[in-house]
Amino acid sequence: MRELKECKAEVFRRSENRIKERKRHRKRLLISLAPFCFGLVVLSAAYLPMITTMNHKMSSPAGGIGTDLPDSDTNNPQGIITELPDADQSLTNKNKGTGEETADQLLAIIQDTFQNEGSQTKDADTYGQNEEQSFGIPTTTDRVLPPDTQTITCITPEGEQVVYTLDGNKLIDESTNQEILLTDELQAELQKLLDLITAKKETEK
Amino acid sequence: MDNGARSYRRFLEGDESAFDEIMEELFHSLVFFIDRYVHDDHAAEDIAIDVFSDLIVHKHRYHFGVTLKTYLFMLGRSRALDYIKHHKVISFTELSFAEPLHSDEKTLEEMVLSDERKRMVNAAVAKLPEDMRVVIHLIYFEQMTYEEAAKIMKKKRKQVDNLLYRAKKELRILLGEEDLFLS
Repeated sequence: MRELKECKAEVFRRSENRIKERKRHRKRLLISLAPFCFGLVVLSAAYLPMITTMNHKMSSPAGGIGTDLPDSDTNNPQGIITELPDADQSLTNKNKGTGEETADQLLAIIQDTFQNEGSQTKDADTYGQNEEQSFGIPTTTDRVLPPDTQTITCITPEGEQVVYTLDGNKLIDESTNQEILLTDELQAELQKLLDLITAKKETEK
Repeated sequence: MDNGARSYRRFLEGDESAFDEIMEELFHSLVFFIDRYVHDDHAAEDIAIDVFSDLIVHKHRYHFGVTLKTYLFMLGRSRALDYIKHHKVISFTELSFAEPLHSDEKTLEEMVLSDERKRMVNAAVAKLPEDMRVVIHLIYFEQMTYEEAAKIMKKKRKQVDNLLYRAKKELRILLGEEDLFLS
């Protein structure tokens, strides 16, 4: 049997060796794992933006016209509803291919028109008020529409429903009661797009 | 009696002399206990040194839930059982031609058991089966409670009770004394 002092010395000697061994093991483990971690970081940096973009594309709605239909019509996931005054039911356009592009174009033109006021507006004197004020046009529900009036209901990508009325060369935003007089060119373009949409609806019927 | 817990706390705070106190108090008892399993003084000493070095290497494994002595004995027991599993225990029946290296060197028994009566009991205890041997050692020689002995042996208190009862019965037969364990 050894002396207690010798045993104490042996205890401390073994402890130091074991601590050194543990540190060595940890170092070796870190060195062996470092390439894996580095590879993971590089891969995620390379592929994460791609995955994010793909997810974004899949979840974002198509076109300028909204993806949601009014609740009454569940068969058509997206589209412009064009109403003619003598129509008993609203006609919807399924936006497939060109239909969607047409609808997008139409909305873009209408929104640009109102934003830029790129048309000739009548003088304030004629109506007695400036162009930004309400002209006192009654709301859609109260107004009796002349026969050649078209109501364009647009659903924005955010799901908001905006109603415009095209009465000859007048385009009226029913929500703000803003009225804009269209140039002949603009009017022709709008009419052309509306006709395209209507024609597409009728062929799908 | 905290059996070294206070000293260990001082050691954790940085007082290295506290570890010397722990060793002085508990080292030989631990070796003696481990010897109950391995039947080899030198192997028992080696294992005890490993147990104490565990205290230094894994400083925060001991959470002061049990006494330090109990914790060391628990470690000692598992290392002893590992040793038995991995080493063949060769028992020497004939040592007549082997001379001791230092004739004045104390044996483990002499170091730990100053009481003659305890040495007598120890000789009898060596003849008992392992579990009984260990329980007598812990309760009688190490003065541990039944709960502590149960923790070390990984048994329930009731099992320790029964084991002790049977061990005492055997010892009485071996020693031929009826009132050996009055306390």
